[in-house]
Amino acid sequence: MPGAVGFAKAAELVTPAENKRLQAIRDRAIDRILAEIPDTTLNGHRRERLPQNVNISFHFVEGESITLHLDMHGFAVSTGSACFSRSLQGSHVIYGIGGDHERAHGSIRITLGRYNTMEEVDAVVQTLAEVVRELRSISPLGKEDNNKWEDTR
Amino acid sequence: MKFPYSETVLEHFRHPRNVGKIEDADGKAIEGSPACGDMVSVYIKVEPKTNTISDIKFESYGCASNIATGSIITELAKGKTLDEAKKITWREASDALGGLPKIKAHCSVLAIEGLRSAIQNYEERHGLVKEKTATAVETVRKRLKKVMNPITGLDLVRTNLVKDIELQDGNVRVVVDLPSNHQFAPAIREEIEEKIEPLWDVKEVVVEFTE
Repeated sequence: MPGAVGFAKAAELVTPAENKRLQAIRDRAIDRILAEIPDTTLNGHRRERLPQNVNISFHFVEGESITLHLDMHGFAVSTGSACFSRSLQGSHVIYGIGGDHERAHGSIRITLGRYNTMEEVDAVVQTLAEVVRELRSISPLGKEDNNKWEDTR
Repeated sequence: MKFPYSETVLEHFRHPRNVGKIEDADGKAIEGSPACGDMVSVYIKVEPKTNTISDIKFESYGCASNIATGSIITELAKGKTLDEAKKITWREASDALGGLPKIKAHCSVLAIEGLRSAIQNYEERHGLVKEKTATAVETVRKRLKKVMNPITGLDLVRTNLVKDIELQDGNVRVVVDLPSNHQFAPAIREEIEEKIEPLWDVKEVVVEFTE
C-alpha cells in the first residue's frame, strides 16, 4: 500500500518541464564524458533514451572499482559489472544490446533525479576522469605493448 | 549498495602497493581475462643464490577485492623464498586484509594463482622443476582450463572448445572448435602457446582450428 501511494506521488512529480531539465543534464553528462575521457562507449541510443539515464562503458577498467572510488567521492552510481552483482553475471541489458563481457564489466550507469543539478555534472565528470585515469594506470590492459585483447575487441 | 569491504581492503584499494610492471622480470604470469571480469599480472625478480623474491609487482584489471589482494600478496611475498611464497594461501591473504567477502573469493584468488604461476614460470624457465613428471594429456587439459574463451568469459575446457589434445615426443597438438578466422582465434592461440610451452618436456605447441 505505501508503495502504491508513493508511486502515485512519483507519477505526479513527472512533468514535461522536469523531463526536459533532466534531459539537458543527461546530454551534458554524456557529451562531456565521451569527449573528455578516451576509450568510452555509450550504451544505448544517443537521444532516444530515458531522460534521466546515462550509461557508458570505460574500456580497460572494471566497473565495481569505478563505483567504489566514486562512492568515496560522494557520488552514488551503479555498474553492470559481474563483480558488483550477487549472481556474478554481467548486465544482461548490455549483452542484449550487443555488448561483450568487457563492455558490461566496464559499464557505469548514472541515474539522475529531481535533486541533481547541472553543476554536479561538471563535478562527476572531473572525478570520473581522474578515477578512470588512475585505474587504467594499474591495469594490464590498454597498454601499447599488451594490446592483444584490444585488437580483438 | 553498501560495499562489503574491511578498512584494510579499502586502504589497499585506494593505495595499492607495488603496482606496475617489471620489464626484465625473471618470472611472470597473467591470470584471468577481460572477459571474465578480472585479470591480474604478476612479475617477480629472483635472487638466484637464495631463491628469494627480491622484487615483485602486479597489475590489475578488476574489482576492489582483486586490486587489494594483488597488493597484499606483493607485501606477503617480498623477501620470501620461492618455496615459502608458493605456500601463501587465499586465507592468509584474506586474513592480512581483515577478511574478504566470500562472494569475492573468485576475484581475489586470481592474485594468489598469479603469484604461484609467476613462481612456476620462473622455475620452468630456470630448470628448477623438482618433480619432473612427463607431460600428459591431462596436464595439458589442466592448463587449458586457464585459457579463457572470451565469447563467454569461461575457460576453453568448460565451454567445450577443446576438441582434441595429442601428445607425441614433446609435440603438443591442440584442436580448438572454432573457425580459424574467428575474431578471437589469434588471441586464443597465443594464450594456449603461452600456457603450454613452458612445460619442461614440451618442444612444440601446434594450435589448430576446426575450420
